[in-house]
Amino acid sequence: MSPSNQSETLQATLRRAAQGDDAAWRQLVEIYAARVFGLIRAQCGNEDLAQEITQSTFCTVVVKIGQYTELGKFEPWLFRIAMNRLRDEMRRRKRQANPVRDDTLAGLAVAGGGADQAGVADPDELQALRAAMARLSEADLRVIQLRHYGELSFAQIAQVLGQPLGTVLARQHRALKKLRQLLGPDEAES
Amino acid sequence: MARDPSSFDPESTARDLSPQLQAVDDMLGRQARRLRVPVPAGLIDRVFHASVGLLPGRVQTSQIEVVARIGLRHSWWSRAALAASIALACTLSLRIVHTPTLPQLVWGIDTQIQPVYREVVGRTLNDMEHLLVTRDMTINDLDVELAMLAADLEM
Repeated sequence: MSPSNQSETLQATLRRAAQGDDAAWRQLVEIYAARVFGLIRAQCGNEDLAQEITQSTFCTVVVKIGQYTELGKFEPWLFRIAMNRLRDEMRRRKRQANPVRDDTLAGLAVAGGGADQAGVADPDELQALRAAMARLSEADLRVIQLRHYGELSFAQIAQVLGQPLGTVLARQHRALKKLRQLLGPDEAES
Repeated sequence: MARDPSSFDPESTARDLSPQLQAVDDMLGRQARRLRVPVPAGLIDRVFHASVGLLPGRVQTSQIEVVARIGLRHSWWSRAALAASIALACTLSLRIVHTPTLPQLVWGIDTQIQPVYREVVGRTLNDMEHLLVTRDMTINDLDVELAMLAADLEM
């Protein structure tokens, strides 16, 4: 299915869900719950908390889904709610989020590649990436996470973060540049 | 030609990135896919079941009936409490009006009527508290009630 057809199908599913169609809502949960869970888990490193926040996010979203039946609005709205939930929870627990860094990268080593069959994780590359990412600013790291874990477009990331598109692109560029400096040319281009 | 930055494609090399930065971006994408943890078993079902009942236009009739019954019961109880409160306030006012030693009673001089007075005031305040909690009585209403009591006391 081409991306535009896929987008139209999703759009139709959203509209059906907004009209109270259980099956359409189920489809949306199946498509997006994994992405929300993946992003939140990457940010907090806590699987139980990521599950709680995923559930809470969908319970919030379902009530007002009628106002966000356009796919371009729905996705940023969904991820924004999830990230706000995480931020609130972290504040409530009076500790800071623990972005990708140790937990999820360490999780990879344990999982031996997780769901991805593309290749075996390179422990050196992982170690180097872990160290480099730990030195990114929170704002830059968030862009990277939303892009690679949330699988959002830059325009959507801009909407989620409430920042201009140019700022988001600049943050991504800066983050990549810093990672390259920290990793060194050999590691980054391997 | 510059690529539309709003479209997501982590594998693309056509963005305005140098080959070096593109390599870092590719590496991030590769690692993110490897790091992707499978969704825990049952999460999708839990999320679905927790939220499906809240879909617009899908509130069950039984839920509406329950809400209606709660509303009715709440309304009946509040009205009864309000009526009791007014009755108590009237009783209290009559007692106060017909008691010549009112200042002494209020300020704690031991007389036969004092325990009754305390009980009545206590119950009245409880009723008022209930009405405030259930939001059937506003602060303004309470203010009016207390002003009336104060006026009675002054008489």
